[in-house]
Amino acid sequence: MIMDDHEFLSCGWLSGPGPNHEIVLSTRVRLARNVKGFPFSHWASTGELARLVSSCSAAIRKTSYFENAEEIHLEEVNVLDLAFLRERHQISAEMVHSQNQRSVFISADQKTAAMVAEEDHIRLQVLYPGLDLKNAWSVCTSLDDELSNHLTFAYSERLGYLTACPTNVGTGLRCSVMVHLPALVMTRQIQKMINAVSQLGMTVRGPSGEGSEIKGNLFQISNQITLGVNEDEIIERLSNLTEQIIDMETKATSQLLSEAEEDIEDRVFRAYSILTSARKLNSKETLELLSPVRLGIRTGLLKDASLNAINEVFLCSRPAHLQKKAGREMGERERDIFRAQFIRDRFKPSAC
Amino acid sequence: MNGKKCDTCNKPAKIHVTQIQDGQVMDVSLCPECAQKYGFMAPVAEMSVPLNEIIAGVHTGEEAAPISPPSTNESKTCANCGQTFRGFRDSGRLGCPECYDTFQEELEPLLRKVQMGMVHHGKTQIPRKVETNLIPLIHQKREELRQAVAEENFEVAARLRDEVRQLERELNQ
Repeated sequence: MIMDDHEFLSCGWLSGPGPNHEIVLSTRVRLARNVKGFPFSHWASTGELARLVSSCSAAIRKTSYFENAEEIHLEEVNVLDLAFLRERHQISAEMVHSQNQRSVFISADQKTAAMVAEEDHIRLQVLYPGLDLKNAWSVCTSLDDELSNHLTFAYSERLGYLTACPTNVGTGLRCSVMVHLPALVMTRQIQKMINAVSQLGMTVRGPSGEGSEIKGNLFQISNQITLGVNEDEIIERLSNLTEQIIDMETKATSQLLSEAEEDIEDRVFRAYSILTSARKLNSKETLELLSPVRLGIRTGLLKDASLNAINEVFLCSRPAHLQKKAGREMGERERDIFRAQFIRDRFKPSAC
Repeated sequence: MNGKKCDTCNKPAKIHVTQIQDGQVMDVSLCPECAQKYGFMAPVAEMSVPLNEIIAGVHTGEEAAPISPPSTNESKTCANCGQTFRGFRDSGRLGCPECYDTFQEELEPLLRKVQMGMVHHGKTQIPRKVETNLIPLIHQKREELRQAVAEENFEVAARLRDEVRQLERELNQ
């Protein structure tokens, strides 16, 4: 099974120096498509779903991105592996709940995924490190073009690509960026940013998407509108908005450093000390400690760790990732101990 | 944090979360029961809830009321797949692509509320047919509208907005 390979535990879409990676952790572009002549996934009968999945899978396999990719059938995957894929954003929350006949293709570099029989018949997804919407979109659209050589999508002249939920109709395109904004939170400007974002037809959420809690000063910003605008406009607007947010965060950081450098430094090193010496750490505390450490690295206050190490810990200290690393299932207490050990090892001077 | 009461039932709060709701950052304290009830302790946050609220609001919202059809349309059924409009409202999902034609009238207020326009402007699956000249005209008007807004020429923008709406209405008929 592909998920047992050591390579699979790496996180290509989070590591590597993406553009503006000091503030933007990752970029995600997702395209929803449905095959003409079939009901939407949730409404299809078992027989229809089987035919649908087989034609979607065959088409996906014909594309250059997934030629050699393994198809992961979710009904054959155990609960831990489902949580693992979810933590990596490679399957949706919906697919964790209902695995019947659903599958996912993941490219060798892990940056591209095709989910089959999700809310929509096919959801193409490209994840890149840093702020890289244009490149992520160019991969996504060329994959979509390749697929449309083999499948006829449900499409109307008036409404564009037809999706199970009307909030995706039109382009079927949802783009998001994950940003780390500790200075905007500390200077209490975050509300201003959220207000500005929502006026532009975009939305701000916690790091795990809709309804999720804000942790570690991480925010996900995405477009809400899919009809009445074209794909390039969606990409352009989110790119411009993210650049403005980077600018706001950078200015807020300078303000903090000029007015209270010692306090910031104290916060950074306290967090780093706990992170590198604690014997038990839970998920929430880890995210809360990673935030000042990340800020410390970005501002040059902390030179002992790298952003890459932080990003890796951010993903790999989550419950399912830890259990995959340990090679066994663990309860919460055991996980907290293992997490602290993993983080201490990762931040050893030689490891960074 | 100790001694804080649950925001909804006054029992001792155990869960403290920060969330963004309707664009406002909010700190919430909840007891385990209420946390469970509101989904903070569920393994995965339920994704369709906010949308259901939007859809449910289509028929109750002040803005939507004049253009919304009466609720008797709730039993309207798609001849292709059997999905009803009520079924869509409850689940947030249509049954098949044909539902967009079946429920065109009922969906319009929702699309107006959550989308930017009523006509697709993006990639095309099939070459555009020449049977209608309305779509290129709408594209052209929208471009002029964008230009007028950029130039802060609001009088012209208002006229163009009305023209675009009228054309979209014609196209939908």
